[in-house]
Amino acid sequence: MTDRSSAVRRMGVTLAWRPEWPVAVIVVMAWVALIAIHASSSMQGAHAAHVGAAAPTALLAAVGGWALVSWALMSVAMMVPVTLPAVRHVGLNSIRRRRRRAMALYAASYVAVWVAFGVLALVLVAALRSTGPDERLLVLGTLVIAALWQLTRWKRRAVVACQRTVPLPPTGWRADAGCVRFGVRQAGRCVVSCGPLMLLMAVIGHGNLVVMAALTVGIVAERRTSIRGRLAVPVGGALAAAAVWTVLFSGAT
Amino acid sequence: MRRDVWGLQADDPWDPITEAYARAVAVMQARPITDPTSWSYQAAIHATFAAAPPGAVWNDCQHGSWYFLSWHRMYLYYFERIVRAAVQSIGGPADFAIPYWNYDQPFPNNTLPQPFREPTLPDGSPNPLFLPPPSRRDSIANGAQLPPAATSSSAAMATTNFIGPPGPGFGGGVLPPTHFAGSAGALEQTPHNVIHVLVGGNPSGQCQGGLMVDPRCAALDPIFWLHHANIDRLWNRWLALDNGSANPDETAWLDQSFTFRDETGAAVTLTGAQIVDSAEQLHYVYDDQPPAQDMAVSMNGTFPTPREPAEPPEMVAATEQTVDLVGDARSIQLTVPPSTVSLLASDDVRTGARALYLNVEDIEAEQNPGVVYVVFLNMASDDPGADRARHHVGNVTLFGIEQMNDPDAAHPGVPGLRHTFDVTRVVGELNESRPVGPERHHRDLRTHHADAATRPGGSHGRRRGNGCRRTRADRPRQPLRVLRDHW
Repeated sequence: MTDRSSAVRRMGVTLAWRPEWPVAVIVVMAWVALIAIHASSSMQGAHAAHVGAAAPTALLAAVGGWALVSWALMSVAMMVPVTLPAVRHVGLNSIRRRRRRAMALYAASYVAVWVAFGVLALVLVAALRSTGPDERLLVLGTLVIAALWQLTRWKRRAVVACQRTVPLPPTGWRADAGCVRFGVRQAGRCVVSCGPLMLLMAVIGHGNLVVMAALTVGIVAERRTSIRGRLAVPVGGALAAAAVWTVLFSGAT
Repeated sequence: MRRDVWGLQADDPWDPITEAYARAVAVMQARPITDPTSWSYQAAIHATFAAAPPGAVWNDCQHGSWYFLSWHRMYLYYFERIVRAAVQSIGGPADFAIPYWNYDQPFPNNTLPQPFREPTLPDGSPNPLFLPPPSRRDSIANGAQLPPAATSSSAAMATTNFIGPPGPGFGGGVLPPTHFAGSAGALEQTPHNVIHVLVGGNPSGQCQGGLMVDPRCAALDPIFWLHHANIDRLWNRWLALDNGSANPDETAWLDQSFTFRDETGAAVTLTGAQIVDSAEQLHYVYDDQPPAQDMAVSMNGTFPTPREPAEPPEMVAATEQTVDLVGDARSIQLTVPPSTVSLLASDDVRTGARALYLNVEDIEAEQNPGVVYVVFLNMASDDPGADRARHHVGNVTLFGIEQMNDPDAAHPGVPGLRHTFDVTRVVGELNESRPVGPERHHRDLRTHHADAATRPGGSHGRRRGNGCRRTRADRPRQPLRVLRDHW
């Protein structure tokens, strides 16, 4: 009984210091949903429909529906983990009774930017497909762009910038606006940092869980570890290797 | 034994130890940078603009984290061995040890030691301890006194935790090995950073301006090592305090190793656990070292390290917007939400039963402007007779911010600078004399000069609860003032 109450107390302390935990739970739920969708035949069908669609009207319709839903899930699963420290910053730097509201506003704004990016990315990919290039060429081009971007100083600057925090007004609409502004700004910086990688996801489809997981690990590592300055080249190299593999061994997706 | 440099000079500025140091510096400066025992190589271990040659561990200094003290102790220890070997090679004292500069003393101790101001050695040869302008701030180089607010370690000594935040811990925040991060401990903030900036003056690229003000040049100034000997001494003194002070007991701190070069040029490694007892493990003491029994428990990390209090701090007040410091006096509105007014005014704050912290955080600047920002709380701008000490909260510097901006540097965590001050005493005293009301809360940021943008964040207390509810009309919105001052 004592052990149990002690464990509960420790858990309470841990969660009190990590007010972002509900957002982390949502991330886990997004991954579960994506895995479930991937496992289902309906997802495979949707994925195939997305990847294989050639007509812009069909793609735009997909973007407006199922593809957008799965993109939003993917954005939560892949891009929210790197911003959990910022969610914590928002929570701990808001007055107690506003904490959850502030974190929700921040997270919603952050995801909204990524969804907007997804709409643009999916429409762009649809437009490219409608021009009729080989699918392998499309994947290859995106991989090369992502690999090259990984090696630029702009990318590294964006990685640093998208970890910056800002002070938040304490009360009223200014506090709400501050959270929204912070979420949009953080997401904007992360789009600069990770946009090419997510563009790759727009090309290869949302159902590729292995690639999603690998990219998520890489993105979190380059943001949250002390070796991030040394990660750019390996990640870029991995993308370049994937590009080579695409050329040599992969058929049209 | 490491001695007070001003004590050595009681009768003659050129005492044997200081002169031996000067001559050893000349020996080391004559060595090529490829020699690990050379002056340039040793300085580069701290930080440098130059690219490290293969096998060299350069740009490795630890700032803004809990490794600040341990890394610099190791660094100074091996540097001292190299200097001692050089001293002995030219017939100097066999028991040479780096002196320390205890600037937190009345005149003349609060001025740059005389041998660092003399262009020549007693025999008329060039003095390597002397640096021509603009390598040091002119006023300091000419013997100006450092102000007590800059040199005092009292705020650091008042801390009881090694680790912070949320409070201002003595040694810094828990992070992986970090060249520069934003969780500096209280001792690192003042006097360490402040002395760097005040002695260094104006920075300039590639070490053409003030040396001490830029981490990439700082260790090229011979006073750097005396400054860090003093910081190391203060660490021992803190451990001897009977206030619960103790080193971390966590293996991440105790087992973390760093690599240096010894007097033979060989690569050597030490861990935190191997340097906690400077007398027993590294075989040096300070001339005013507290008795060993006073430190025995603290330095071995026997006390559990309090990492996370049961409750995170609660925000009780914050500014509405960011603050740009551009050189003029500023007043900044601070909003105290109705739900937290009672927390600021509570007896617990007045009696010190609950802590109140002031964060100046998310500081952004392209480079260190070479100034010290002095933070005062509730001091009227139009009162020249104000008791500054009573209102003084702490000092803010931007030392090392260039390194934090570097996208290629390995620095995990939030890259913005952050300073945390314990304002419990100041707020408590002010509450006693002026009970808290809607019109009674303001904070002054007092600054020397301002080329940087700082973003004062909130004030945190540990008290939980909703406090009293007030209507919007009673909401206190009071000014933070930013003034300009000169030391």
